[in-house]
Amino acid sequence: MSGVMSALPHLTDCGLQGIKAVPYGIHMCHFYERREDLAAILVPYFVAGLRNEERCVWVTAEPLDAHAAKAELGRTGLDVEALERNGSLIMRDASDWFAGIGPLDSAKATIMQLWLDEERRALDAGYNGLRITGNTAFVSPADWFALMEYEEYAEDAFASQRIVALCSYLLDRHAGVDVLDVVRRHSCTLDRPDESGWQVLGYDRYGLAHRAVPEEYVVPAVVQA
Amino acid sequence: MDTPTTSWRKLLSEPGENGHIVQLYQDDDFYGEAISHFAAEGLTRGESIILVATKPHWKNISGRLRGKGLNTEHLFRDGQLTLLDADETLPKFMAGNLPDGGIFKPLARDTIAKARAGGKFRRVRWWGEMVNCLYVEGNAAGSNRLEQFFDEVAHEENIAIFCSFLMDKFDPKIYEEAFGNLCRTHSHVIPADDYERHRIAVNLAFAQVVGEIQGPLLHSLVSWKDAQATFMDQPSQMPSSQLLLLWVRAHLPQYFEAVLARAREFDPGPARRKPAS
Repeated sequence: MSGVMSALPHLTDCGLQGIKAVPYGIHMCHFYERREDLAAILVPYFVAGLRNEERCVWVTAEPLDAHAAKAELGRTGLDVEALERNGSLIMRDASDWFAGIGPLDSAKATIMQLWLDEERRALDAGYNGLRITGNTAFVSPADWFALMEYEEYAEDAFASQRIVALCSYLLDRHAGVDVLDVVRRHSCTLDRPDESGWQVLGYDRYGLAHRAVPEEYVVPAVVQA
Repeated sequence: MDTPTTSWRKLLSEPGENGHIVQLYQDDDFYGEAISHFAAEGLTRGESIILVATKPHWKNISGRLRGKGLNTEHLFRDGQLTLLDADETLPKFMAGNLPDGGIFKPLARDTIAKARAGGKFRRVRWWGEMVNCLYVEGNAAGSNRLEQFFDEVAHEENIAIFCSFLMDKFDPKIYEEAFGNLCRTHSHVIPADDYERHRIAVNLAFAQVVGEIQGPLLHSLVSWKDAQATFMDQPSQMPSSQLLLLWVRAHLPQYFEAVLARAREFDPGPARRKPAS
C-alpha cells in the first residue's frame, strides 16, 4: 500500500473558490452562524472530494442534519443515493455516527481510530483518500476542553494521513476565548467575507494562501456516481 | 489525554526535558498543590527533584508530598530529593541587585550534577522560588536576569524547571513588563488554577465590556498570527483565555483594564469565592 500511496498526488481540490489545492493531512476549521453558511462551504467541499474519487464522510448536526444535507448536495445534480450505495459517500447524523462511543473525554482515541480505520478502508477500496467533516454543534458545552483535546490530537494525527478534514463550529459571538481555542488547534481557518471567494485567516500551517495549483492536479469536472 | 493548554496537571506531570514552566499564584493551595504535583510526578517517574524553597513554603510543600504518600526523609537519604533554602542560597550569587552568572551557573550545574547522583537518576527537574523572592522584594530586574540564567542552564543540562510567581493575573500593571518577561523566559505559562473558570470569566468579561465577536473584530482575532509573538519576542504556550487577554491589550487597549476588572469579578480567586452550596 505504501507504494500505491507514494504514487498518489499529495494535493487535492478543496472545492472552495479562492482556496483550490490543499495537501492531504490538512485539518481545517470554519465558523458558521446559519444553516446556509454550512451548506455554502460543505456542498462544494464534498463535490470536489467526490470528483477527486475520495471517500466522503459527512457527519452532520443541527441546523443541517443528514436529511437536509442530502437535499443540499442533491441540488448540485449529484445522485446522492447512488453515491451512498456505492460507498463513495457516507452522510450520517453525529448522534448516529458516534453512537455507543461513550463520553468524549474518554473516547478521543477511539474516535481517532475510527477515522484512521475509515481511511484505511477507503484506500484499500481504491479511493484516493478520505474527506471528512464534522459539525461540533452536537458536543455538550461541558465537554469543551475534551473537544479541544481531541482537536489537538487530530491536528497531529491527521498530518501524516491521506485525510482532508474540515470542522464546523457554530460561532458564539460571546465566546472569544473559544474562537482562539478552535483556531489554535487547526491547520487553518477558512472564511468567506464576501462572495468573491474563500480565504485563509491567520495561522496557515501549510501556506495555503500562497499555494499555486499545479497543472497535473487539475481533475475532470465529471463526477461518476 | 489532557493537553498542556487545557490542564496544568498534565503539563507539570510531563514538562519535557527543556520545559520551563511558570505558575502565577495568589493562594497557598494552588501554589502548594502545583509544586507538590510537579515533584511527586517526577519522583514516581524515577527522576531526581531539586526544590529551592523558603522555610515557610517548604512546610506547605512537604506536607502535601507526605499527603501524596511520599516519605521525604527517605527520599533525601536516597538522593532523589534535594532541598535548598532559598533565603540562604540567593545571597551566594547576588552581586548587588543582580545575580552573577559566573557564580550562579556553576552553582546550579553542581547542584544538578549531585542530583543526578553519578547517573543513578537520568532526569532531573527543578522547582525554585528565588526568582519569586527577588520579584516580591521589588527587584524585577534581578528576578528577570536570574530567570534568564535558569533558562540557559535548563537547556544546557536538559532539565525541566518550574517557577512560581506571586502575581495577580488580573492586575493590569503586570502586563507593563513583568508578564512579558515571564513569557520571554518560559516555555509555558500557567495563569490560573482552574482553566475552565478562567475561560468562562474572560469570555463573560469580554462580552460585557467589548461586545460581540463578529465582523472586523472576529477577523482581527482569528487573523492574529502567531498570537504570542505579537506580544513577546519568544512564543510561550498558555491557555486561550490568557491569550485573549493579550490580544485585547494589543488590539483593544482602551478596553483592557475594564476586561481585567470584570474578569476578576467572575473569577475572584479561592479566598473570595462563595462556598459551594
